[in-house]
Amino acid sequence: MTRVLVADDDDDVRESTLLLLEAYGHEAHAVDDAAGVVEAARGLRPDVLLQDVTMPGLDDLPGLVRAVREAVPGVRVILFTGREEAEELAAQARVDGVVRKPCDMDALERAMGS
Amino acid sequence: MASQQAASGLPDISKAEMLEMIRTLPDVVFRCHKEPDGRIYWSFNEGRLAEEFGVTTQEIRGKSLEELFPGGASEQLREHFEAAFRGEAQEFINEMGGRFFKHFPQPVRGTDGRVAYVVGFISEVTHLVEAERRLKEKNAELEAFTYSVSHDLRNPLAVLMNLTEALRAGKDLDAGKREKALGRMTAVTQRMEETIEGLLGLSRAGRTELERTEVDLSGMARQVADDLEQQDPDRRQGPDRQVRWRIEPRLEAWADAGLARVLLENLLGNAWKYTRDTGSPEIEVVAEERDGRRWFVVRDNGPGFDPGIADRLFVAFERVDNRDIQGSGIGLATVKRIVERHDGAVQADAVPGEGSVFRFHLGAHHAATANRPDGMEPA
Repeated sequence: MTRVLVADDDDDVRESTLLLLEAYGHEAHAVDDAAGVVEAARGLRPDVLLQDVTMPGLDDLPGLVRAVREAVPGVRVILFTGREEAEELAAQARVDGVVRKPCDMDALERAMGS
Repeated sequence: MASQQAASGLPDISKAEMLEMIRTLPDVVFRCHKEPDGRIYWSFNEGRLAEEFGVTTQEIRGKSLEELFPGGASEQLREHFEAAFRGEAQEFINEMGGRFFKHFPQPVRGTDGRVAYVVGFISEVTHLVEAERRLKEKNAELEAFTYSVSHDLRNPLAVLMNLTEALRAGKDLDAGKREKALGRMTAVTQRMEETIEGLLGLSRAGRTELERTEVDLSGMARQVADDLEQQDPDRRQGPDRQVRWRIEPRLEAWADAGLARVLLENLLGNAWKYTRDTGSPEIEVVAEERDGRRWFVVRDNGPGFDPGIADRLFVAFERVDNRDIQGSGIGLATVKRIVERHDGAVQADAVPGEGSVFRFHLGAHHAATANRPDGMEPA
């Protein structure tokens, strides 16, 4: 079981992803705004952060990723995106993986390293 | 007499008649020559365009390319004219004072086979160049639109796929969660349906034939308001939750009734949605005189928006705030298309925290209808 923090502002995407992760036997939590991600991560100490790339208030993705890593050393950060230019973003933010929406569970499991 | 009749029986054309014919053409017909030192000069330049620019033969005979086209224009022209004098016919377009002209220089060879002079004509193509520019703009818009549509439809699909997969894999999920997943699937599917309905509406707004009639906008606005009240009766709860409608009587427009209704449904529907969390919500439909024109105004006291993004509101799927408000992101694009079909305009304005204002007019016809001699009252 992996503890996952899902950061996404879209209610449907967030809730459906939580349910999907639970269905696969993971412990899933969620945060719906960019400002709350670091604090939520510090409190929950997740194994994986599944981070949406287009949340309101998310101006500095690399900065957010650095702050989360500082708060939770060893956390795997995976970008969760519907955008084509995700690879570039992933390289900039130095994350551990990218999962495209819709969420392919096999791809997600691989990215989470579980 | 006989000498003036050609074999066909048609009269010969005299030099004066030929000149008259050329002067009647909307374009320029010209002839130019090249001296051994490279100087290109004009010997003939006639047509209505030549007259408009004050460059008829009489005015410019013997003048050079550089004298005729001062500034940078002559450099570009020289290149093409040199080619014509080398025997290569080259069409080209140049710009002068914001207008565009197409040139067709053609070499004419003497008996020795060498280019004796160059003739040709010049036509104004400003309207074509502008149509092409607009077409390019529209195409770019369409491409951005397709991109946005794909993304907006992919999102709910992603959710459906997540939930289907969760239900399939999560046999141990408790009944409450399964029920919640199914409820969400229904809601997402409905929203996709709304998006597609919105797209069809946008398409209809562009396609349907425009049939202007006298439209009672006040009556129409009251109907739309009633429909909104009935669809969402919860909004009537509580004394400060009920929307206070202020619809100015006798607002008339010379418009397509069907499209005007869609326009009001979108603008009033937005005002209704965005005042959801406003205490003592108010929605107003009035007319205002601005820049000598009568504008219809839909105003609300909702949260408003950042005025800096006003133009983006009318681009399909450029939803500015989708966190709490459900909507397809197509409504204002449809509004814009409807006013444009009427040769009208729409503007958005807002003060954050104080409300939004949408102003529109539906073309130049209001004034005429306002002064109708029969003084008929709207139905």
